[in-house]
Amino acid sequence: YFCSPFPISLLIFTLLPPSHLTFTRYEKFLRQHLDHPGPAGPPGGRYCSTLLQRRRVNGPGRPCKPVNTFVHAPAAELLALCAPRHGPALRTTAAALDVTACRVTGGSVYHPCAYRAARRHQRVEVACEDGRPVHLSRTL
Amino acid sequence: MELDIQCEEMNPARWAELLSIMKTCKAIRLDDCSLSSSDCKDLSSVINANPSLTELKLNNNELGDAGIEYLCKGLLTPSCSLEKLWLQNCNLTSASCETLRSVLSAQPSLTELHVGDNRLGTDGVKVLCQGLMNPSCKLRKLQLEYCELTADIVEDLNAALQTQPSLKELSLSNNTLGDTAVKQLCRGLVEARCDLELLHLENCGITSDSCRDISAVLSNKSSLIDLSVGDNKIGDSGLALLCQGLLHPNCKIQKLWLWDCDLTNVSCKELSRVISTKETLIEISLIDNNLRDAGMEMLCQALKDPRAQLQELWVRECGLTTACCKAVSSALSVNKHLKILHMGENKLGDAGVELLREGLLHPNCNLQSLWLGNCDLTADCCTTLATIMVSKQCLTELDLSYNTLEDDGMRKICEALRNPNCKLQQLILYDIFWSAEMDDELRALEESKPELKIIS
Repeated sequence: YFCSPFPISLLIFTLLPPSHLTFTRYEKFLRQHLDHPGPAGPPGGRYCSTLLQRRRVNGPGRPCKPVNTFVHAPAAELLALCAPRHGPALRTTAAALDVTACRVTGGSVYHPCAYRAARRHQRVEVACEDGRPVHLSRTL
Repeated sequence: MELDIQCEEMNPARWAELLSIMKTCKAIRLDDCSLSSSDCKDLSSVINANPSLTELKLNNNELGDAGIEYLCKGLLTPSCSLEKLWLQNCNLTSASCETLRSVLSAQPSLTELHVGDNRLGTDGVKVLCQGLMNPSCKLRKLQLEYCELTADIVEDLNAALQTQPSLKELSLSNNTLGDTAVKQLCRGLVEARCDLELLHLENCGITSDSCRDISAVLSNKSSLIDLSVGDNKIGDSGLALLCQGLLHPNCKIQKLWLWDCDLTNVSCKELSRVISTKETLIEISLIDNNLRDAGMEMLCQALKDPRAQLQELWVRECGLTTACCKAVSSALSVNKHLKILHMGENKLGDAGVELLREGLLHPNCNLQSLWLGNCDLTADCCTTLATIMVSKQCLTELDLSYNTLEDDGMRKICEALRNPNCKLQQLILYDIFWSAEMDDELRALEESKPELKIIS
């Protein structure tokens, strides 16, 4: 089992049907892209498929998200990056962070989804809005 | 009634509530619900008390061998009429196979067993094969992906295939079988009593060496309609051998998956012959092969053949560029059968979409689903995309994920979505950045158009 930094949001998900209106864009960003501290060992494809399903990104009737990066850093680190309200929307972390890049395998388009996982150490570029990250633009 | 739950942590009150519902369910699916072996005691009572239960799916729960033992007590009751059992990634070992063998031998209602992602090992699955050989066993589907099988399993599988006429679907993907074992399996399949319809051998360590024997299965077994050898390095030489079987008049293949097989444009000549002459073929996946524009152009030529019946073409991540889009467009303006086209992760660019426009808008084109994720598209092609969205009323699914469409492009997409002529049911927009205002607009749009689902 993978530790989730957002037990509360997961709990809400289990009680309510997924709805756009329930979640802010920041919460959606956390749900899709943050997993701190992340898997203990090198992540396998199962890490990606399990977490993407638990975070309600993939599921029955939904297309498999082809590519998804999980950042293994505390949310505070990315919040700090977005803290200065003035400045460009796209901002890159000064230091490289632990990330897992998930890539769907050729065999899956709809649920269930199989992935290949690659653990990397990369800088992360996010888009900020009102002092919070709302979009993971790329890793470099 | 069906119970279908994913990723829910169970507490005693919720579990008790669900157990009372389960007593009348036809299907119970509890995927990744933190169930343990002790919960299987309760499930066993449910199976016992509910003779209408036909499907039980417990994937991704740590049931363990002890859990399966409890479950099987229920499964062995004479009133049980379970048909489908899913136990993928349930922390089972070879010890569970003895229990499952007894169910296979005693329960003729059971037609599907999915036990992939468990460390059953070759010794465990050998025991399962014993169950398969029992005359009362009527299993149709057996899924053994990621079961840590080795080449040694093939002898027992072949023995089961010789004696068990009911088996129609066999998935052995993601086991390190290797060429020698796959060749032996294929020779067994040619002789087998069963008429296998589906054979999945993804990531089984196959090279071109096995392809002559796989080809022999294709040309001898008209029953085989679904073959996947994806994620094996068969290369162009292997593909050429496969095509001999595919082109054989006996072969009635419908679905052919060749993703990540180290194919190049060299293979496309043979594949074109298969697409244009094999009228049973309706779905082909060539994802993650370096076909390039030259290869795609050959496939497009085949799609223009009046005999081509292909409905789904998946060429994601095939090294394509703008240059092949004219040929694709030309094929779309002739071909009436193609329903689903996956072209994501190719550098088509805005100019590519401009070229596709003519074919997509042609009355002959009946495409329902178009995937253009991560194709280097910008706001500049969104006017054209919007035109396609409102003019092509058979188009119900469009993927534009990972393209930098920006607010300018998204506004045009939204405008098209608001047009009553746009019949899109699913718009996929993963990881595209737009402003908060655009986000509000998309939410409002989705609420006002209940038939439309926007996935992001």
